[in-house]
Order: sequence, then structure tokens, then C-alpha cells
Amino acid sequence: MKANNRSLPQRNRNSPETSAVYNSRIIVALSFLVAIIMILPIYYMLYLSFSARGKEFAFPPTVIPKPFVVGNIVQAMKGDTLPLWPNFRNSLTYAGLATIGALLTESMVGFAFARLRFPGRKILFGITVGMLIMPFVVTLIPRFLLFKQFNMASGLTPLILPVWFGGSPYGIFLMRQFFMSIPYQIDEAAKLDGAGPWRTLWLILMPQALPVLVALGMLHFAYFWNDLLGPLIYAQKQDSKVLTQGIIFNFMSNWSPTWNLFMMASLLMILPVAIVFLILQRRFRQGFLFSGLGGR
Amino acid sequence: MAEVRLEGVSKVFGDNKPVISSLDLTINDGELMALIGPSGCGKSTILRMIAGLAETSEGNILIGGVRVNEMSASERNVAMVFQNYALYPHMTVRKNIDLSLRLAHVKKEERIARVAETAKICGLEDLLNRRPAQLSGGQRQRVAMARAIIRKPKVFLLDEPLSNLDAKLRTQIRTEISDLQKRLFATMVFVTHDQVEAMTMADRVAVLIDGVLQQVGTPKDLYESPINSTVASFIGSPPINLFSGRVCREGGKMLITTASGSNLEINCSINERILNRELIVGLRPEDLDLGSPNLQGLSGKIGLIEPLGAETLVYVDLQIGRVGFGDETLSADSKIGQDLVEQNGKSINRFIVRLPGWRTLRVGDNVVVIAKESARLHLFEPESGMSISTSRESR
Repeated sequence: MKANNRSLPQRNRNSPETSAVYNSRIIVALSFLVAIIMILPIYYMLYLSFSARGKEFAFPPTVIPKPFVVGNIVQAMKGDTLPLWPNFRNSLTYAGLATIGALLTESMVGFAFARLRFPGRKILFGITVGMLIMPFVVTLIPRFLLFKQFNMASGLTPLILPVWFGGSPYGIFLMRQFFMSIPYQIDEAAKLDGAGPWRTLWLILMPQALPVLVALGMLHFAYFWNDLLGPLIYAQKQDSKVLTQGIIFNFMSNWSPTWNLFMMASLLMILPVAIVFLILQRRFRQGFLFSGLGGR
Repeated sequence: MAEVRLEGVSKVFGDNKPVISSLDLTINDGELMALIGPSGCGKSTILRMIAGLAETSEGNILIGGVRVNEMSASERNVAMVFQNYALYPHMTVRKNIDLSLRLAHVKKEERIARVAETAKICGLEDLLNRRPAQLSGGQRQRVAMARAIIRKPKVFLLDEPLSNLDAKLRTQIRTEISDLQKRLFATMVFVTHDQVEAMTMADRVAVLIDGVLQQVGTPKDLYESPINSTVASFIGSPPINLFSGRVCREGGKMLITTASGSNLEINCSINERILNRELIVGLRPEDLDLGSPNLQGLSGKIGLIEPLGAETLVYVDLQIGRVGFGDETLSADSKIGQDLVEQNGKSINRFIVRLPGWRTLRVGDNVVVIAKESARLHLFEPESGMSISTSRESR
């Protein structure tokens, strides 16, 4: 056997095949590293969520928390001081209405920029794109003062209402790019069939934009669902507080935070978004491909 | 159905040169008119102006005797079949066909009946529940036609509807459209850059070059009596052979003498006034033959042979001088008929000869191009490019 092995031609370490194998190994190793970095916080979150009170940071650490407390799920929903259900309902109202508003208005504005010819179109679009680099905090105080003038600075309305007037520049840009990728002859065919711009948008273009709407809707929903800064400013009353506020006030407001319940509540909070994402992830990727903004 | 009349129609984009200038054209009721011309000549713009998808800068468009310039696209009651069919991808064939009726609030029972009738006409009965992505190119084309037919429009406008199909399917759909047009007695305007489509389908053909209407006539008129060298070179495949020459009489024979001094004998009677004048001479490939070297003709070398089965196209390289077009009036696209190549600094005119059946010829063979007894001679003014007889009439 030895003699046979010796008679085989030695593989050159610098040959293209060998370097390709090494390269792919390096890529796999790096991918693992990145995956671990990404997964580790989620694992730690899960670990803390099922830990018993006072045993969250036990040393030496174990792979699975001991004891494994499933009852934290119910305990977290009940809250330390107040139940989280009303906050959940408020979050759903805020994220749901804001997402619908954003998608509707972004589609309409995107359609106008992509298809309608009106004076000042290019300038307006330039301003919209310019808004992409504008940090949210810059408009925070002027917006608050504006709503205060109208006696509307309390509750969820100041958070939902602006979204119904154009959504985000990013969404407008994304929708415009998608509509521009649809051949203009489709609009012309609809025009000959008797459809005006409004019907062309709703009957012809919007159904085709479904993957983009799903992708954009998920991004928006996740943003509004996780929003803390906005509700901290406007949703001061107890009955309008959202989940992010509820979790903080319940589990983080005293000198010794209940880490296990805090993590469990956070886990329960991201669960709906994660489940929806997992179900719609194919559509989500398609959306970015169709809009011409995605990679492969 | 209705007659379509364009009166002095012009189209200008911005401050640029007009894309269409002062176009006068009448498409008769129940006629299939083909608009033909090279890419960018403005033929699709004409169609879009008739449809109401593009505004008219000047002039009037009349459909059924009514001026429609200010009417919207849907009010004009015209249907259009687009080059890429423009089917709604998220709708089934049924919904694609049905949409115009739904938007017009036609009753459901009537809609169902009309969809069934149209589907039958276009052979789509089994495909009504499919989506465009599940159809072949030919089927999509038929859906686009069905979408046009169901509205019972006054005019059908077809913008290069066959250009996305393969050669075999193109021939099939060509026949289907012609049949349909005759069955419905529809007024159809058909845009194409493919002259075979125009010649085989149309009742009349309008040739458009650089936004200017060159000639309108039956395919036979255009082929046999082109108004100028541009139309002559555009109509006919393979294209006409154009070259500079003089028509002379020598001992009772008519000869065409080229710039390089070669003579081509031709059997025709020619007006005395044009004898010995420098002209553009046009001869169709089927009017030429290859003869033995002792015959009086144009000698050259075979540059290329294209055997097509029923016929063989032979490309012969001749040194007979460049064709003298009025360069300012004609674009590069319009000089299709002359196939000039440079060899050793001399310009070589590549002649196309169409011979019946298979031929045992080789590239590089020395041959003599002769004109057939029945050859039809086309003569054009060297400056304006106008046909000799036509140019005299118009003056």
C-alpha cells in the first residue's frame, strides 16, 4: 500500500484545485464565526428567559439553565406590576396602523414619482431621496412642538398620523424603483382599457407589487413594533403605552431588574415578528430582488 | 369599423427636429395598412398618436370622420396590441380579456358571453384560466389580440406584434392575423420593420423614412414602381442592386455603362431624353443571372454564396463605382440597397444575384453578371434619388 501511495502523483499545494479547497474552508470557518457571533446573543436571551430568579448569572454556567423554568412565560405576561396584554394590544394597533398607512402612501407617492408627469417631480424626488440621510432625531423636537400646537401630543396618534402622509423616504424610493421596473406598456394597455391612473395603480400595479409590499411591510412592522423612543415621548398615559415601554417599566424600573422575566417578555415580543418573517421569508427576498435593490 | 385620416400631422419632442413632419395618410375602412420603415423612423409614434398615448404637435387625427386630438385614449375606442403584448401578469387570460368590459361596467352575463365568443375566435377556450407566464409566445400574442377584439374597437393598432416570435410561429401568426382582419373586416394599422410581414399581410403599405412618408401603395406598386431609390432599396429582400451608370444605345442594343467602363446589355426601351445621362440604376436580384465570360456583362468574383434550398443567393464583387446618392437628403439606413465594401483601397459594389435551385458555385470564382431578357430596369435621378418617370411627373 505504501509503495502504491508513493507512486501516485503528489498534489501540488499551489495548484488551483488545492487553493480553491483552502479558500472554501476559510469561507466556511469565517461563516461559522459570524453565525456564532449572531446566534450567541439569541442563545443567551433564551438561556436567561428560562432561568430561575437569581440563577441567571450562575457560575459555572451550564448549557441549559438549571432549573429550566417554563412558568416564566406566564409570569412575564402577567408582569411584575401590571399585565402586558394592554401594551401588546397598543403595540399591535400602533405597528399595524402605521404599517398599513406607510404601505398605502409609499405606494401612491412611489407611483407618482415613477409614472406621473408633473412639474417639480424631479426636485421633489431629489428632496425625498435627500431625506434618506436625515436622522430621525433631527425632526423629533419640531414634530413634538407641532403636535403640541394641535393639542395632539399625547397618545399614539402623533406616531401613526405622520406615517399616513408619505411613510418613509426609503419606502417611497423602493416602491418607485419597483414601479419603474414594470414595462410602461402595461400602463398604456390599462389606459386603452379605460383605466385612469388610480385604477392602474390599484388594479394593475399593486397586485404585482405584492412581494415588495410584503418585504417593506415587514421592515416597517418590525420598526414600529420595536419602537421605544417615539412612544416614550408621546404615549405617556398608562392606557396608551406599548409593549417596549411595558417591558421596561415592569421589569427594569427597580434597582434589581428581574432579568429572566425581562428576557422572556422580550422573547415573547419578538416572536410574532420572527414567525411572520419565517413564513414570508421567500416573499421577503423576492421583494428585494424585484425592486432591483437586492443582491443575488 | 372606421376610416382613419391623418392630416398634416407632426410630432416634435422638446426643441428637437420633428420626428414626424406634416404627415398626410388615410387608412380606409376595413383596410390593413402596414407602416414600414427602419428603426427610429417614427412609425410607432404615429401609432401612439392615433391611439392617444402621445400628443400630436400639429395637424388633425380623424377616426370615422371625427377629430379625436383632444379625446383620451379610452374615448377614441381604438385597441392596441403591443410589441411585448403588455398582458397583466397577475391576471388570468379571462381577466386579461375581460378587464376593459369590467371597467366599462358591462353586465356580468354580457361579459361572460363576449369573453366566450372572443376566446372562440382566437382559439383560447382551453386557456382562459391560465396566467400569461403559463402561455407560449404565440398564445400570448393571441391573448393580446383577444383583448383588442373584445372591445369591438373602431381601429386595431398593432405595434410590431410578431417581433417577439420565432420564425416558424411568426409565419403562422401572420396568417392568423390576416384571416382575422378579413373575418372581422377590421381597420388595422400594423407597424413593422420587417418588409416580408408588410408585403404579405397588408392591403397597402406606407414607407416612412426619417419621419417623412415616402410612398403609400399596394405591395406590388412599391416593389415594381418605387417612387425613389430609398423606397427601392428598402422594399425587397434581398435588396435591389443600385449603382451609378449611363444608359447608352450601341448598334441597336441598349447598354448600361458603369463608371468603370463595364457594359451590361439590357432588353428595354428607354426615353431618348435620358440616354447618356449619369443616373442611379437599379436591378432586382431576380432580374440578374450569371453568364459565360464571353457575354457582355459585369465581371466580378463571387464573394459569398447563400444556398436557401429553393433558390441560391450569390454575392458578386464588382468594381463599378460608388452610387451617387444625394447624401444630405438620405440617411445611412436608407442606403440598404448598396452593399459597398472596401478592398485594397477600391470601393467594391457587392451585387446580389438570385438564382433558382441549388448551384455548384464556389467563392472566388470569376463570373459575369448579366441581365435577364425580362429584367425590369429602375432608374433614379442621381441628385434627388427620385424615380425618373415620377420625378418628371412631379415637376
